[in-house]
Amino acid sequence: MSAFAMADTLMDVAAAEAGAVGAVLQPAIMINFEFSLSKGNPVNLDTAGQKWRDAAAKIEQAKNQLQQAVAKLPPEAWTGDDRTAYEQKVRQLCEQFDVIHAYCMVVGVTLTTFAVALLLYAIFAVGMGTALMVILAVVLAEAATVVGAPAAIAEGESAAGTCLVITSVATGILAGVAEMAAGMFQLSAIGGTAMESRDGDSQAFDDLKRGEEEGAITASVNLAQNAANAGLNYLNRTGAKGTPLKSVDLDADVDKDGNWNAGGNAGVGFGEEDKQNITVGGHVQLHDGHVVGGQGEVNYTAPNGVSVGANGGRNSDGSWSGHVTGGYEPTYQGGKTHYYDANGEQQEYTPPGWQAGGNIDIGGGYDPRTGHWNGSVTGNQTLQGGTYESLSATVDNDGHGHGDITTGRTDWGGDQTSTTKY
Amino acid sequence: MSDEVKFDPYRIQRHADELTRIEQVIEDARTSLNSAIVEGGDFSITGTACAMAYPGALDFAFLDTATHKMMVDQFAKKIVTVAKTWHATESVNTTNVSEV
Repeated sequence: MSAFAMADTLMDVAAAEAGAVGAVLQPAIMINFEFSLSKGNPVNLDTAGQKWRDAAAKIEQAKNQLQQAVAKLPPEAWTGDDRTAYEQKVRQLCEQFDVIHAYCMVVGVTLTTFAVALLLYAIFAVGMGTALMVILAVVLAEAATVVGAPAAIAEGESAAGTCLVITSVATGILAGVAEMAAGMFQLSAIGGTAMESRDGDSQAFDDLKRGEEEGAITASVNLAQNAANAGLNYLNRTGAKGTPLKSVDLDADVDKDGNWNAGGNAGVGFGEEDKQNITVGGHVQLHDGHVVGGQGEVNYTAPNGVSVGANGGRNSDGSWSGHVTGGYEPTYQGGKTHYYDANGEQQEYTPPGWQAGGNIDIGGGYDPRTGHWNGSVTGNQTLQGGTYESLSATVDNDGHGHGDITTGRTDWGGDQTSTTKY
Repeated sequence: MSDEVKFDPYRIQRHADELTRIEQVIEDARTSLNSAIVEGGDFSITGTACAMAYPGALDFAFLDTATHKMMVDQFAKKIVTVAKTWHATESVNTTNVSEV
């Protein structure tokens, strides 16, 4: 596991602390809100960045192989003007490969850089959460009596207010890094297109135009999801009346072969204090406008930390797969403290809870066309929203009685897997 | 004669086969990119600017690499066709000369 895997746990700890402090000191509510806006998935971004760099290496390999293949062609195998023209075209193509290589490296590095930015923000957030808890501890001590309360609360709110200004600057910096990264994505695509076009690729600008058009569909879905979640995070902030809808997830993604994956999830809270949570959703895969696959999912979490869920359906390649999940991740709550607020009324402070436990995922798949089937079991130990240890076992069968069994373990020390064939 | 146009069709075919292997390398690069599809929320809400610019960047990469794979494919097909056509023509010419 990389340092990026820590970021989830850090953000959840920071958000829990800011939320708990927010019940007493107003400015911390907005700090908690800004934390919710800045929680991303740096593990996924870094993995994606590595894939871009892998792609860049393969393009470089293709270019080298092409140069060698042409150089190895003996003069007597092909003579004449056409040969000279062909070698010129190959040189142009190799220049274009250089451009593509550079583009993939830029995007790959930018993705990992942004993952680092998210991790740095998470580390900052935990520091800020700790500072808020320290401020609160002083406030609660002094607000233990009606007499001491008004001054203590006022000082605490002022200190928390300064913390909010600092947090807003940090969030603004993160937004600024996002703008720069977005700029890198766009400018590299445009620059790359211009250079390829100069180097003889007449298709380049058409590819850029179509890429941006299709990309705009995904972009507007991403914008809708993020805008909706920002609003929901604000409505559901500490101390606010809240709304049953907790989060939405919207997807419209195209893959390398032009297949689309579209769908969404919604998370709804209900029951006392919205502590019961259900997430429902579905996705379809489209090829040439036809639905070629579809999956559904449902997940329920009870207030005591028990969760159950199921997802699955038909995949776009014609195979079927499904998963059943279950978990027990209770929140350990410290004892409540009494204090007096600025109006002299007695209030109760609930410290942030620690969520720890485990979950398990049992899955299986079957391809009716080939008879190929597979099964898997994965168990995770979690702490405050992040997985710190994972064990898994998968079995794969080609439909003729042969296949392999793979076991794996992922923890802070890294990934280890071993595979046996049968 | 040194200005003569000559082809070795068998050697050309081997060159075309090498080009086909290079197409596969490009396709491997595209497969890498395929697993770089990222969730909209992965950049965080604060990072929405990124989440909006990224899909276009990725899709352009898909299309651009597809175009270049097709270019290599066209090279392979064209030179094999030219070599075969030349070989067929040369065979006819040789037969005509020897009959005279």
